[in-house]
Amino acid sequence: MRSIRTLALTVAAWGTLVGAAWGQAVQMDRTVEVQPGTRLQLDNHFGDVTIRTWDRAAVRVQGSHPVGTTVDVQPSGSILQIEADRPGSHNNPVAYTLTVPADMAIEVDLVQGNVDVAGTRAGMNITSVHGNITVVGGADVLTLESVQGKVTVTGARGRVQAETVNQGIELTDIRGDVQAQAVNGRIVLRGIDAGRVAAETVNGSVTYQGSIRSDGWYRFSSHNGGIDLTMPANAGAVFTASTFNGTLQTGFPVTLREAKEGKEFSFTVGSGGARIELESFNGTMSIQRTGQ
Amino acid sequence: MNAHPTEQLSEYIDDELTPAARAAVDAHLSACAECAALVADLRAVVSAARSTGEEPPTWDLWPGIARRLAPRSRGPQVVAIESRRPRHFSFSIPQLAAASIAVALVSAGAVWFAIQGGAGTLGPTASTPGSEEPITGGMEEPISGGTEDRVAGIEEPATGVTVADGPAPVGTAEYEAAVADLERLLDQAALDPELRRAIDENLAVIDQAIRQTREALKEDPDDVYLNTHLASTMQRKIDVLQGAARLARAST
Repeated sequence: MRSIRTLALTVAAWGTLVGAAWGQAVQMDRTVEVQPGTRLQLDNHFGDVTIRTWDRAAVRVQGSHPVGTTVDVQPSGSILQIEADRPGSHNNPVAYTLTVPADMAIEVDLVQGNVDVAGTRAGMNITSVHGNITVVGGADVLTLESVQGKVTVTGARGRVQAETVNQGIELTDIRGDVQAQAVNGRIVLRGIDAGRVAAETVNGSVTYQGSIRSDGWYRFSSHNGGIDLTMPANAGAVFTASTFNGTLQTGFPVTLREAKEGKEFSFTVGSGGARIELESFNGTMSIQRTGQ
Repeated sequence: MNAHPTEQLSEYIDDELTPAARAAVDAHLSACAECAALVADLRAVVSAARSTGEEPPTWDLWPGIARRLAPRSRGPQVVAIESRRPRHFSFSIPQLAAASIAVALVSAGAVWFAIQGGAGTLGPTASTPGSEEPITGGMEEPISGGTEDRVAGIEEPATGVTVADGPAPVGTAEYEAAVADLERLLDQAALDPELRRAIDENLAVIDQAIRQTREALKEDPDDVYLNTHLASTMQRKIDVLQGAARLARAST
């Protein structure tokens, strides 16, 4: 009878473990003090990452992971490294919610999952292969790359370098130079205050609404999409606009400098100054005044 | 303003103009932002090609591509160290488009090297695919390449490149062979099928753009925009393949 009871308890214990391994997640909540200047480095294979900020010199790591997975939070010099150790499989999701100092530089490397960052005043380098990258805030240099995900940034105060292959890019209220590159997606840049902007896609439109500095350089290019440029009425620029099958429309009076068979144009708007290059092989290039 | 001295800019960069001609170009450049920018772009391409030639070990690490680039009869030559002599960079303008692709292919070679383990993990000797000969030593500098390289700043792209002597653009055979090498690399990697499908679809988008641009160039082989657009689109394909190759490495 005693052995039967022992067997029953053993089976129950195994059942609990197997059940946990198959479906249940372990919650984690740890807080690690960090020195000023410490950089966050998070590697994750599968699972969403959410990062928020607070005014403490510490990083709080919350989230969930499968039974059997351990999450290492490892301070090493000026880096706080967070990585999950998943024996057996990369396919068990580990979801993180981190709370970090607002001035902490962030590096996230993710294979599958979304990254959502808000409130930071520091630079960041974020890669997600399968997943969207959404950032509110940020400063210094923001390097954001995805293959199958949309990149969205709002309110950054620094240079933004955004790249995706199979989705679009949307940058809003950016004070800093911008480089945006996609293949199969549109690029929308609104509220940009920058001296150097480059946006290039193959299959999608490019929209730019923002300042045009007299010493600035701006380049917008698409193969299959249109280019929509909206700039202040008092802006001055020297344009080159090139197309093969497309057209050019402008709401500004222009002084034509050169034109080639309706395909390539060089002209001045206002008193000149900025250098703006527009290219669309198949699409319409449109230059409008703000508020038009 | 006088006509743009486009045909003289190569000699201008190489300091081969007569003093009078050089003075005339200088005067034009001081008044023409377009030509000044073009000269800056051309110098950047020349500089990149020159620095490429100074790093033959990088090429040696990807012999498949290096072999294809070495016999180029036009454009910057990739030469062995022992046969290299002070190089004279006198480009006809079409070769500059080829140079920009050649620079991209250097990065492609770097990706191959990175995929094999990276500079930091390469031992004293290692074999290269398709070659019985060991290579010795490693890279002097870590390879970052691709998007990482752009972190340093937003560079104005090379513009104003035109074809002066016919429609054979940008070392097509070499380019296609290099792309094929990278694609074979991807085929050998265990990329997630959904990701691979997405990459293939996007490569198809780029290929269509390249085809359309090449068709357009048949109508107007000297067109500046079409040539630069073709070069940048071809480079975009290399960029995507490089990124995919890095993912393949990261996934293993």
